[in-house]
Amino acid sequence: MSDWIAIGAMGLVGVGLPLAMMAVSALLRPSVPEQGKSATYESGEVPTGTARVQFNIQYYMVALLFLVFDIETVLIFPWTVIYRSALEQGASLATVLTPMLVFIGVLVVGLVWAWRNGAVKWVKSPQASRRKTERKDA
Amino acid sequence: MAGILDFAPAIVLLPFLSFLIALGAGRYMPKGGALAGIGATAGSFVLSIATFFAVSGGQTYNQTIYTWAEGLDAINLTFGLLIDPLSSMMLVIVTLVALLVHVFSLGYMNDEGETGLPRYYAGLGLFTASMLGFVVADNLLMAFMFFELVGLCSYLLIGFHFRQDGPPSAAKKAFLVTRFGDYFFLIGVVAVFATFGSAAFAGPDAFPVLAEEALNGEHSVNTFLGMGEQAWFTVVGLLVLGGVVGKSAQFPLHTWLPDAMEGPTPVSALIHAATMVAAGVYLVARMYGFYVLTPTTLAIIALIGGFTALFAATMGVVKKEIKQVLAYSTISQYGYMMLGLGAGGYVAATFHLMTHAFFKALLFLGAGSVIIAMHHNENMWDMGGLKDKMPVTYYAFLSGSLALAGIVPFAGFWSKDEVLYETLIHGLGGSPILLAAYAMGLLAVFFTGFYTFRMVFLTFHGEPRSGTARDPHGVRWNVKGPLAVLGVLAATTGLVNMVPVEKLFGIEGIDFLHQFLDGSFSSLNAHHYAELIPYSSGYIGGEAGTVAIGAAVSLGFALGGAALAHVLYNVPEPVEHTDKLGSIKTVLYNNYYQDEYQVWIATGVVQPISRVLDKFDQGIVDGVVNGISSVSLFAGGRVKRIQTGVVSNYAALLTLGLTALLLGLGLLGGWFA
Amino acid sequence: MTPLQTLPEWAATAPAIVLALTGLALLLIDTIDPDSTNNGLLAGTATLGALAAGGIAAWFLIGGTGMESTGGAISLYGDALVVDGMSLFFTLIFTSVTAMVTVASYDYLADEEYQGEFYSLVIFAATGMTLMGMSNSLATVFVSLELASLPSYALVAFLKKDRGSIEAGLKYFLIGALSSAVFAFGISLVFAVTGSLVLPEVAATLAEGTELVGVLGLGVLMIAGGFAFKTASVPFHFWAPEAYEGAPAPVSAFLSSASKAAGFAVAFRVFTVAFPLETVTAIGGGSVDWSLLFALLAVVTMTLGNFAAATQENVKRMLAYSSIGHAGYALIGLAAITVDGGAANGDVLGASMAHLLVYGFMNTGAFLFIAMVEKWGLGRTFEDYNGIASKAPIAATAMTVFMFSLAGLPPFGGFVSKYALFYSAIESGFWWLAAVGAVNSALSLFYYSRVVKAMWIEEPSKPLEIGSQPVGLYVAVIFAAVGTVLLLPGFQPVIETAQTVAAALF
Repeated sequence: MSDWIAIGAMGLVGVGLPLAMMAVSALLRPSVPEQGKSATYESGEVPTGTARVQFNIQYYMVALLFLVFDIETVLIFPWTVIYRSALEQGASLATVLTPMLVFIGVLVVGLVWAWRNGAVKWVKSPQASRRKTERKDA
Repeated sequence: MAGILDFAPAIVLLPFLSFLIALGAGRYMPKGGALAGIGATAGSFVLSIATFFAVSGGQTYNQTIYTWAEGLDAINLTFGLLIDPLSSMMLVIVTLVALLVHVFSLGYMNDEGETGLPRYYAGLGLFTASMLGFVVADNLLMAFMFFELVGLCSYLLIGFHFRQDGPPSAAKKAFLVTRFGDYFFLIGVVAVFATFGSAAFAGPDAFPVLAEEALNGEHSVNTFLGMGEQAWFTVVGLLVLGGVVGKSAQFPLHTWLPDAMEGPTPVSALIHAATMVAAGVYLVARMYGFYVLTPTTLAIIALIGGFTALFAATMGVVKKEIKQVLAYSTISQYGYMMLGLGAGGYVAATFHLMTHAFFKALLFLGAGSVIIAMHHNENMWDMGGLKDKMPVTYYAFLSGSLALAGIVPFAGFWSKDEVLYETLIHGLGGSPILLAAYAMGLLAVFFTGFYTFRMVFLTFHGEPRSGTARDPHGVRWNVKGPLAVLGVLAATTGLVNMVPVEKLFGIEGIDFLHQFLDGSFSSLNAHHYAELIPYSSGYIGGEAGTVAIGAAVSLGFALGGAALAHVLYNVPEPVEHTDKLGSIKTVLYNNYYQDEYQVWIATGVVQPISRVLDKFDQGIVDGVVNGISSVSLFAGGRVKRIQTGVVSNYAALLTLGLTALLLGLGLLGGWFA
Repeated sequence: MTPLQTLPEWAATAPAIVLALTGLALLLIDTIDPDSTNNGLLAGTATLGALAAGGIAAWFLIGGTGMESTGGAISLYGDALVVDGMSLFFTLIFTSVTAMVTVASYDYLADEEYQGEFYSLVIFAATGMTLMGMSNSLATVFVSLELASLPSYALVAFLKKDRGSIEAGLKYFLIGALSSAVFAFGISLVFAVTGSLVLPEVAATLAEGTELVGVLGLGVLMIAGGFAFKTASVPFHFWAPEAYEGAPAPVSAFLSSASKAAGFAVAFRVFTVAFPLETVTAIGGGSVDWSLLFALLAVVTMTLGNFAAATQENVKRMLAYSSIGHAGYALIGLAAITVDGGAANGDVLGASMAHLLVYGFMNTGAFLFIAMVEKWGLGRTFEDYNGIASKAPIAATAMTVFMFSLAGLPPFGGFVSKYALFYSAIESGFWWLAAVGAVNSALSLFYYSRVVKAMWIEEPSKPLEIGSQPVGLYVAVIFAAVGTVLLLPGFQPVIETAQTVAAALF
């Protein structure tokens, strides 16, 4: 029990202290909201618009695919390191090479499918396309 | 013939098959299912005859056909067949009467243009199958099940004309009264299982044998209520007797039988004369090895029998309808059989069972023939003079009446006389109860003779008293044939066991029935029973002398009754003489108020109790059930609100749950030590 | 069986390999012409793959692969995977459910886009589940669990235009992510205590004793939490009602039958192999009594599932809660394990596995019936189901079979599996668990009968129009119904196999 009391106390203090500070200051300070006070801090620059810009969803697709193949790369590294020493110690080429080929093959199938189904095609949202055409006519 | 006993199950299954055929395809058959029934019963009859010969040759059969419940502690519930002399004899009787009734039904039902024939023949088929199943049952539970089944068929067939008022009510009454007795029977079956661990009639664990060994101290059985073995066996025997009293229409559960006459006459002949009411008596005979061990039960059986014989006979003398007379006669005659069994006369009672089956069936079928002729008018005071118009019926009916009254040399004389003889000698051997029962039985002989011949004279003799009697409806071969067969049997069946002749003239070996029942299983034969009965025999002037005196007295009483009837009713224009009885007349007309008494028990005693229990049921039992349901639904309504739909709530509850589990398990498991 | 001995060891994972290849094949088929979809070809390939995997698993099971008679469990890849009777048994469950779902989806998805994605996601999830049944190391458990879960997040949100589906998918994903985090943290704590991730080695290390009982306990609890999420047990069940209700009905069937069974498979294996009860209840001065934990979870899950289902108005949501209730029954398998149980432990665990097999059939069938009703466009409440029996008697009969089987009525498979489960619980001494289960079963009959009553007895408020007879859905529903009915007489071999393979774990 003795070890855990310390952790429990730390948890309590860790949660309680910020809560207490926020609560006390909220009670003590005067409440005068103003535009200059509630604007976002941009290191001196005047902020234009909000930070909530709608990103093109295609970035997400790229990021997803990148993540998959990045992890693939990470997992290929250990294999390359032991490749030569495994062959020297008598493992046959098949047992050393085939698993990695299977691994890469599975991912290639996935990549081919994603490619053919337009995962890497840069698409614009209908809203973005419309605005461009409107400006041209205007 | 060696393997014929292996076909024994077919005897039961053939009529069941005809039941199914009549039920399913009776509509499409020319006679509404009758031919299937006739074929099935004929087949069963042939097989029964073959079985009978096999058993006389010394074969027996005791097999378990099917185990339908295997208990862990050696109580198994089975279906099996037991073929020994008693059951093979009964098989022949039942199948023969059933066959004749089926043929008769062609004339009574088909030719009279009745509707609903498939239902009728299906009922007959099911009944025959059930009765045969009961006869061959090898254990008490199976016997109980078929016992109930024949009760059901009786209900269905009594209430055949269900669109009228009378038959459904009579059917209900029959079912309820017999059911009341069967309740005690059921408790008795359970008691047998609890006491002996088995309810088989024969074989290594037959309960009569176990009971005998228990009384000799060779075997231990469970007794209940702190009773000794003798006392407990008496209780068990009395419990089973409840069902017997109900089914065989003994006092006080006799009230249903006269009302059962609402059913069609062939049904009355088959069920309420020859077979179903015999089931109770047959059951006592089947378990006789058990009953002889308890003298108290035997005395009660004898007393009930003797009393019922007299009681019913007195009621029969004032009845107007021919079937009513026969109904009371049936009750009375079964009283004789019970008297015989209670007095230790196993062979005598069985003999009377056989002869009665034949002559009572004959009388009922004869009454049916008369009823057809009289366009379904049963009142004897509208009949008269039919003997010239219906000679076959008359002579057959006369043969049956002579048998019923017990006039030598017709069948009833030999069997009734033997019953009375056994009662007399065992009564003289030191049992005053048996002497009292003997007296009642003897007096009943007088009344029997009287009402039988009153019935014959009013129906067939004298001048026709109505237009229908003057010009009766003709009957065909399908009515006259069975009557002829049964008429011959009623006359000759007595010859199989002419004990008086044997004793008086010293001729050995003509008691064929006695020898027949002496064969087969040693625990089930007449010899064994004779050893066990708790009576000794006393004689008046030696054995032959007692026989002669007994026979003479009973014959005298019978002839006396017949003579009185002859004087009063064998005149061209008979009149009612019942007013001469005075106040007794009202009592007899109202059947000693037994019906009113039973109705009073139902409405005055049972109904108030039922009302109280109903309040309990609705208030407490229903209240609890409904309460549980409403609590559950209320709880459900509250519980489902925990699912608020807000994901952060879910996450919070998840974390809180995890924390709670952690704290709980941690404290319990000493993780924080 | 001699043919098996001639196959190389890695062929023991053939069911998983077949499923993975099917998934890849589906992707390739979709690659050929991305602008149009051949629904029949896709559904056919998926079904064939699932059936082939199931057939191979059955063949292996009959031949005794991985069981005592042929040399014990087959360990592969440095003890990361193990093929024994239990994994093959569960593979049967997964593949049979998958086959029914893919056949049904042929009709359900007929008008949808992204069909190739759907089938491949289903097959990949099935692969993950098969691997879950075969995993022998905590790392493999985690990876395969994620492989099974991630496709199902996407499948739940499959109907992109339906707000219910999207909301359900998102909630499922969020709770799932939280639970995966808890699970991973638990694994790390166990690794901290024992220094190994392979299940038998964890058990061996624990047997030597450790002082870090609290850490171990917390780790075990969090691992149990991860499994509780997958099997939708209280308090980790909050995603289930929304996910099952919002998802397309075949996906609900897939999730609630196969995914749940996968969670149980991995829970059974991890807890009986890595944390044997006799070791962890007497360790370093404390005790990690996970059978008590699961008993608590079982009781609360059963009760909440059944009570909340009793007052629902929406049939699909009612079935969702009933799934939660059934997870509670299956948890009895783990709750009734005792230290000195011996053979009784194998019995109760095997009974739970057999119950999951029967449950797979009846639950999938019920949800596929709902899929049919959705296809007919009749609505989702009990009133909308009024009078279906007059227009579609075969389907209504099948649904009646499912409802009564779920309630545990004879003569259907659900009765005998529940009976076996309660009986073995009582044999192990946990009569109160069986009592709670029986009370809850009695309550469940109420809300299952509401469906039956609506279909057969009530009159529809407006005239019922059933436009089509979708073949695939009918085939799947009838197959499930026949399976449910046949599992009553055929239960004997199932329970014997299950109890034998479960006993091999102890």
